[in-house]
Amino acid sequence: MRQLNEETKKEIKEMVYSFLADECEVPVTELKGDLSVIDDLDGDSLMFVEMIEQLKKKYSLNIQMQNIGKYLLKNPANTIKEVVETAYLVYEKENDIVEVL
Amino acid sequence: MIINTESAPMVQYDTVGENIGVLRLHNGRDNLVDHAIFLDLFQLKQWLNNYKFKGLILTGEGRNFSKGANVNRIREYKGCPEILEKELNEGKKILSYIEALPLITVAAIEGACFGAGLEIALSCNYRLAAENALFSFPEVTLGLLPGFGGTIRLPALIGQRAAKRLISSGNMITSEDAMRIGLTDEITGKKEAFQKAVELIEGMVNHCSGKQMEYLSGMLDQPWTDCLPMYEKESKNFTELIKTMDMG
Repeated sequence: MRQLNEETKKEIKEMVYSFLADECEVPVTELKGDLSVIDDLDGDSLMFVEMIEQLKKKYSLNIQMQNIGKYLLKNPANTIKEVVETAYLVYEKENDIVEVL
Repeated sequence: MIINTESAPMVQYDTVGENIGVLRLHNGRDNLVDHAIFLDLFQLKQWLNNYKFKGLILTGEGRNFSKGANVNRIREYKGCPEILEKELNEGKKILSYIEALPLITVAAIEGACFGAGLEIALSCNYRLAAENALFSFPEVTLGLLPGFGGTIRLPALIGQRAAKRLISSGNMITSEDAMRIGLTDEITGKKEAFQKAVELIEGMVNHCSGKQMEYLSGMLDQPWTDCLPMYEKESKNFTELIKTMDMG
């Protein structure tokens, strides 16, 4: 399991906010943790997959989409805060995220 | 220029300069394919006759190419699969027509390109995918198989083994994976697929007259996949499967 330090957490959070701001065409300053990605930002579930792909490339993570899909079925990430927390978990657990079910 | 008619509710006709036509899938955020006859073939032929294009780009409005067929609409055919079978065969005539056009045809793909959307993209000569594009044949997860030419065009493009794997797994793959198996021809930056498609066509047609393109296409674009009995068999299989979809 990877160790998630404060600096990486900050980086990941900024990456998520920047990604959502760009995709949903909303200024990053208007994004708040309790906003729903789908209901408030008019996003869709595939955006999360795209974002994880970015995360995967940036940190060379060993994570398969099918495993993220399995995890999200049981633990949906609706709000921005939940998306950030899931991104942390993906970083830490990679493919072992399925064991968190 | 944009024409939008009742008979072609999900396709907008557009142009880039004089040489390039654009068919833009346009149906909500997901560009779902509600109907196998997704455009009016007569209208398409007329439009192409009016303009002497050298290239044609198929793309999706907004952030997705297309998330595929509208599954709820497919369920409506459970009681009358023979109607769907006929419609699928008519829809496939559109794809075969696009496939055989004496033009350079390019699918410019951003976001999701799933199921019937991917089958539409497969009718083009080239598929340029943005780095954020995702591909899938999710039919198997619904108890179905691709029914819009995918079981014929996909193996013709990427080989039987890779096609069987993609279709039978229902897995979603990235543009990098798609490039690796030969499903796409180039990966572009995000929101750049359309511009790259324009550049690809412009780069290819610079040296060819209309007549040369027509002759070249006459030799190369007689699709060996354009085998009517196979397409009809696929439609029959698909409509058999919808009788039992959602049961497993």
